[in-house]
Amino acid sequence: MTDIDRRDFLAQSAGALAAVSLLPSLGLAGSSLSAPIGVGVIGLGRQGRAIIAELSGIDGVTIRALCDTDQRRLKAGARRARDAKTVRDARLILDDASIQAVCIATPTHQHRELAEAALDAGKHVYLEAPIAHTIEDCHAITRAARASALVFQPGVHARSDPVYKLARSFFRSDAVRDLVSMSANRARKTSWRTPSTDPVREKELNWRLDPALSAGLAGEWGTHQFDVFHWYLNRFPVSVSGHGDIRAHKDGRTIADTIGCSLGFEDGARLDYNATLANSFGGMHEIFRGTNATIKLAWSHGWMFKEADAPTQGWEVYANRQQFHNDEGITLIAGATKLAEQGKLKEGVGLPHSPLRYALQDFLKSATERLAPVTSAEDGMRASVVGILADRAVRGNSTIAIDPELLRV
Amino acid sequence: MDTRADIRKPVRLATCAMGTRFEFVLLGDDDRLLQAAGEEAIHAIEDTHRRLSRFEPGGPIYEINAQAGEAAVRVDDEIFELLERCSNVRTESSQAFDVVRRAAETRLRADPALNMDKTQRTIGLVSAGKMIDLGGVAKGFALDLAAEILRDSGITSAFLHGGTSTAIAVGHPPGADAWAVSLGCDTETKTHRGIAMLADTAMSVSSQDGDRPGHVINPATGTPASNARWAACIGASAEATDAWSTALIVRGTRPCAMPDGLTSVVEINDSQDSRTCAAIGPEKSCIVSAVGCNPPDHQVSICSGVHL
Repeated sequence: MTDIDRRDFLAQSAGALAAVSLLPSLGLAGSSLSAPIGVGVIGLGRQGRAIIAELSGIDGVTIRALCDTDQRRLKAGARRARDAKTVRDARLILDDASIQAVCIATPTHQHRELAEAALDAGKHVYLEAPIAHTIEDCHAITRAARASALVFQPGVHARSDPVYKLARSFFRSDAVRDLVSMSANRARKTSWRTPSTDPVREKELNWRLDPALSAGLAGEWGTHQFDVFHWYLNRFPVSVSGHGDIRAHKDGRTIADTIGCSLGFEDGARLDYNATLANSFGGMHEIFRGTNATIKLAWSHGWMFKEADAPTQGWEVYANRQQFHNDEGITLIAGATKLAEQGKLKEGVGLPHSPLRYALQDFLKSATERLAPVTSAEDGMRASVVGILADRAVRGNSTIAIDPELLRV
Repeated sequence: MDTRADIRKPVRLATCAMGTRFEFVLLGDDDRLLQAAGEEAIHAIEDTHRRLSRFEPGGPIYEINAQAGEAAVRVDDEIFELLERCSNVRTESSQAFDVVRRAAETRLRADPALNMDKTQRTIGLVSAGKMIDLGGVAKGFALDLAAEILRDSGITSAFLHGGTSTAIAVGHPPGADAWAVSLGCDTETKTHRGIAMLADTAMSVSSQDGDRPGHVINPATGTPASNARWAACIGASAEATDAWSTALIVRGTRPCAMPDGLTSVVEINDSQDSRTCAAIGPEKSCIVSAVGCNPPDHQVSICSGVHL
């Protein structure tokens, strides 16, 4: 057997064995729905344009309309969906009978009005997270979603992400054993400003830096990651302490550009969360440390680092590994079986699609087949409320007890 | 009094994407606007990397390559139109430019390797063993987007480049009519190739010299292109100039079907092994013979073909 043959053999064996253990099925083949659906996208900033690109790759989806109040963004969005009509008033999308579902990616403080109006208009709703910038709005949106027979899915992606689903199955099956600690990080070097020469428009576009409208880094970014821990642990924090500072962008802003939070759980476990706009090291990831193993998740990739004294499962012999300085991580590859069959199982391979694609696919599948969404309104509400409370703790440099009633509607 | 003290410090931004380094220089009075607009443009570069890199799982080009010979992939209109334009350059350049890399056994076939269905908006590679590699065109495409963002944001003076082989000028620097761009030296003769004066114009250079000699491959033969040593293309779109600079160095001459709006400069080895270099096209006056000339202010050095 040549080296290449042996490598292929091992790769295919690894895929097959791993599949027997825990791997979900995931192909590279194009995404498709069981029935066609017309979709409108409201809000065409970066996330809205990313949504257009991902929707375009799903068979059965017709993007019928795009909405934004900013002409530049309308133009940029329309480049990705030429046949969609472009409008500046969301009402024109909500009144369009050819549209059955809407994706809302507007500034957070506009979510409640649009989400409630969309549900009232009979549209399925995919709402970017955080679902709102106040606890009151989070609860109101959840009540509206619960009262509706339509599908409402908040835009936290982990529960649709094949890597996260796979890693959770490891986590829940005792591979990590006793939980020691948790941490999460998000870092991107950016001012968080959107350019405009018009002062009025600049203020509108830079709502993230407006203390009255922004949920800060903990809310805007942390919400997406807090949901990972809620989902994996199946419980919620009971306290949060926070601190923040302006370390790089001393341009008159009051929203911290660098924050740290510590979320406490009832059993004493803690989640340390750090986010910054001043440095990009580490990007976005979450870590679960246990007495047997550590799991590190980075949205399109995931790894498990075994302790030397942890029991070894048979399939691990063939698993792909990556070296991180002195640590060796077993690569958690979703869809390893099919990749191995195709001879494409290689070290470090990530998801064939973006996490956003899987979330949108789940949403549209639920909408077309009238299934319960993979991520519920309550899941989005709880993550958003924890994000909002973490932001309060950061602003007050304080510790806040989280009333469990705030996480219920 | 030193008038240079009145010149505001430029805002500089950079990112690593598509296997190379992109750098922006922005000039103006409002630093906050410059920074925000520059970051928006940098994001466009990074987003383009995610969408167009053949190495990036999760992007449509990666998916098309992964499905080669098996299935076509649905893409958004922006990507479909980009590949349509690439297909047009392939035809106009008599296949001197091709974004599809072929396996050895099919190198000499002239049939299109891409199956593009405009109605379904799907793109597929007709057989396994082929892959889309947008290479420098992706850089040009990203730079065009970035320049558009800067202009739409009210930026009137900026210079952007990707890996120094493709650049685009937004407006001109204060006190000058254009950005002066050094075309570098011929590594063999050590002579300066000249300076290009760019204002609201893009330029790409392609070379078989430099760090990676022979890296430009003739798609028709699968071997390093040998008809020219160095080529440059100047025009409104960085995507177009990048594609055509590659086609020029492969062909060694300006194709008849090359759009009139593009200026071409090709340096070839003639029969006596001496260098011949001529600018043809509407912007030929912007190429300044610069042997022995002093570099002007705001000069940017642009060297040859870093195609990754």
